[in-house]
Amino acid sequence: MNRAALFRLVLAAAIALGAATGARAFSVLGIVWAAGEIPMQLQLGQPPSFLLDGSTDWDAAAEASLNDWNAQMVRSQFVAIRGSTAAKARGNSLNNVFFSPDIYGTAWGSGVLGVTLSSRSATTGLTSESDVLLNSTRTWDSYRGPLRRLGNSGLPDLRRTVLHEFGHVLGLDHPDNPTTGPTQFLSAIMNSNISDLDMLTSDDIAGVKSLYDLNTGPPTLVTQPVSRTVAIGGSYTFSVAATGTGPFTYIWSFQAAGSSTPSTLRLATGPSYTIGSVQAADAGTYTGAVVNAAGGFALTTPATLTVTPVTTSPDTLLINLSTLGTVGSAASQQLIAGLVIRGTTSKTVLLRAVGPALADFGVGGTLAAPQLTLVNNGGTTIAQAGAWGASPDAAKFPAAFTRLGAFQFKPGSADSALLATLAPGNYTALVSGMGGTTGAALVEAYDADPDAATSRTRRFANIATRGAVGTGAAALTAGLVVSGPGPHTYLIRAVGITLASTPFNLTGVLLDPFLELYQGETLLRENDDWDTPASPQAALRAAAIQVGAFPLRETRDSVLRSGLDSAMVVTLQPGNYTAKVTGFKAATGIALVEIYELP
Amino acid sequence: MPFRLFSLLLAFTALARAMTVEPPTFPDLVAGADAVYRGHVTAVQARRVARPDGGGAMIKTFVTFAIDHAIKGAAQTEIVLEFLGGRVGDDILEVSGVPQFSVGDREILFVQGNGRQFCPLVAVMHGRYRIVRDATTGHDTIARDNGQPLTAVAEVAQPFHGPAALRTPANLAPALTPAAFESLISAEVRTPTPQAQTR
Repeated sequence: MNRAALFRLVLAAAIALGAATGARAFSVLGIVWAAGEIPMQLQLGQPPSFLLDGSTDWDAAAEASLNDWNAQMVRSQFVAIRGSTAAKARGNSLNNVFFSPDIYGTAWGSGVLGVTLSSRSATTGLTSESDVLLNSTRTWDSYRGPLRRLGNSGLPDLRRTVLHEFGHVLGLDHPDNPTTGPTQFLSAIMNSNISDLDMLTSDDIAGVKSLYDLNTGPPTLVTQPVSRTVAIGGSYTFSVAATGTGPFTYIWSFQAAGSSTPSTLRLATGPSYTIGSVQAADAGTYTGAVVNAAGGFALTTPATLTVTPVTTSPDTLLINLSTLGTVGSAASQQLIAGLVIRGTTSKTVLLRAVGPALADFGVGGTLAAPQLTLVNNGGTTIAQAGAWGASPDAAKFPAAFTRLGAFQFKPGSADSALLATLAPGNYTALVSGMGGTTGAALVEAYDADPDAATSRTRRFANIATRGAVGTGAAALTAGLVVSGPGPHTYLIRAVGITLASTPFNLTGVLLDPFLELYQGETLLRENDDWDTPASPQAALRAAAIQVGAFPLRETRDSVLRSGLDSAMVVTLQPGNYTAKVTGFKAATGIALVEIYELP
Repeated sequence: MPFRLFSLLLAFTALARAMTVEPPTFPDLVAGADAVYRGHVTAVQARRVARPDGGGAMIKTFVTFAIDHAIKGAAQTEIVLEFLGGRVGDDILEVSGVPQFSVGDREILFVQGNGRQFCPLVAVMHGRYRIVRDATTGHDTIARDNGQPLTAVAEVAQPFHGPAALRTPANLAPALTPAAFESLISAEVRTPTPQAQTR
């Protein structure tokens, strides 16, 4: 990996990560000046008349802008050389600031007032020369306050123009149109267009401080990540320890085996990260960068994760699927569970809608009176249940619950249950609140066939539950029980933004779902955007096609992306698992959690 | 959560942007363009070239643009656009504000002064409009250089951080389609308009 490229990466990524957490929003170019003085050859000359802000000449106005930046920097300082007679040239290692009718022989474009040309070394990442040229074909002044006009044209203000350009000299980018990283909209002198703003904002200051506030050396690495060979389902932790002046930002990159393109592991932001259940797509190299606040950094040596396959068992079954969510009063806020039964003969299932009984498990705000409705693929209601004790099958339930490992309902409770024998096909279980009641509910589907051999001929192939995702504890949580002689592979998805598209066209969807897979309290895997990192994309698309799942929304473009839904293909050993769907950055809305059994 | 710094940076074609520019009005954008082309990028290459003023060599990036439709100007199948700046070996010349292109990018470009100006687009980044396809709907839409959807030609004159930039996913107006944008450009081409004022 190119070290200079990685330097640019870690610096820009460190700051962008800060921006992502709300700490910072500026954009940087990922390249800086070495510590010390930055001499600026001010060669702007004398104005034809007095300047509106009282500056004695152009250089004085420019020096004031240099001083505005100097006040925010520690490890480097601009040095103004007013009235410089140095040669105005590229490649002379001088930082020339002057009016010019062209840009070293090439014409100004329309609308362009000033430009900064910087020479950098790809090897060191350091700037060696920055020239600031101002369009001498325009009439200029130096003033404060809103932009003024001169006839039909604007009257450019030199002071704010060079304040902006000097920010670029220091390595700041346009937050509203950055070279890399997310576009951001805020008040900043570093925005790409001249405006009424005539001074540094807090965002500009935060940006320059991130680059020049401290005078520290790079971190020193104490430990490095370790290469390992892990079987699918095992865990792998990569970690680094560093000494030096913190605080440190940790950035990890992953390059899949056989790929030439590394990706940032956006969820790995600490000194260590554990993949609780390694999958084939995790094979590759992991490289860390430790970055300090001054932009100093240290790179780890790449660690290689080799993943060995396991033999999956076709006899392993999904015997129980459940989803915990919140039922609202509107029809769109029902908890909706979709079931797919595969095979050639009918299957017996136990469906439950649990509300009051959840209180015994510490769940607050439970749905007081669930109503469970089972609908077939044609939209016909084939069964409906209220309080379990009122069901014709009430006498059968305690024994069925015991046989299937389901907890018992209290006598007289309002929790719902029904036993149904269903032909292969697609079904939907709707959980609503009797009388418009709302609250947390659990919808469960159990394989109620008499034995595993029978179950294998008509399998639970998929469950998908739609519900509302709120903040805090109001996640959408799906449980699955994998039972059998060996591991099996599943596609798990958390779908939000795709639901806003055709053919669903839902409103109020969760725009950016976040999916976590747990076994007990142990986080096995997490995913924010299904297409990040890029290496598992092909496998995820193929898995969706294989099980007949609808494609997730995606936009392939150099700037716009919308692969915001979450997905993972996981091979799981028999056991109990939980898939939890929340909104990234506390986003809320309607989401779908899906679990598909891969053949 | 979109986040592709790593791949973008390692692509290493990224150049710094640093410029003070005034956005044009839509009539100025159209009138100021020598040509308006819809097409796609087929090659991006940087090399050292002699400076026009004889002052030595400077790095330029040459973007080969296959033209699907000439909305304004002479019909041709391809144009090689010359942008000041780029990377050759260890040397990087960063020229502010110049849009970045990658092979495969689909664009509507307002070309001005190619080979003469440091950036051959009207008002630099304001002369570049991306064609973005939603793979789910299959619909193409128009976005500005910073990726914001263009929903009306009046937004052309707005800075990137202006009011139009503050749309949220919840209240997004539909972006213009390429066909609609082309139609508006063609209509503007047919409208007698004073030549865009050189700023």
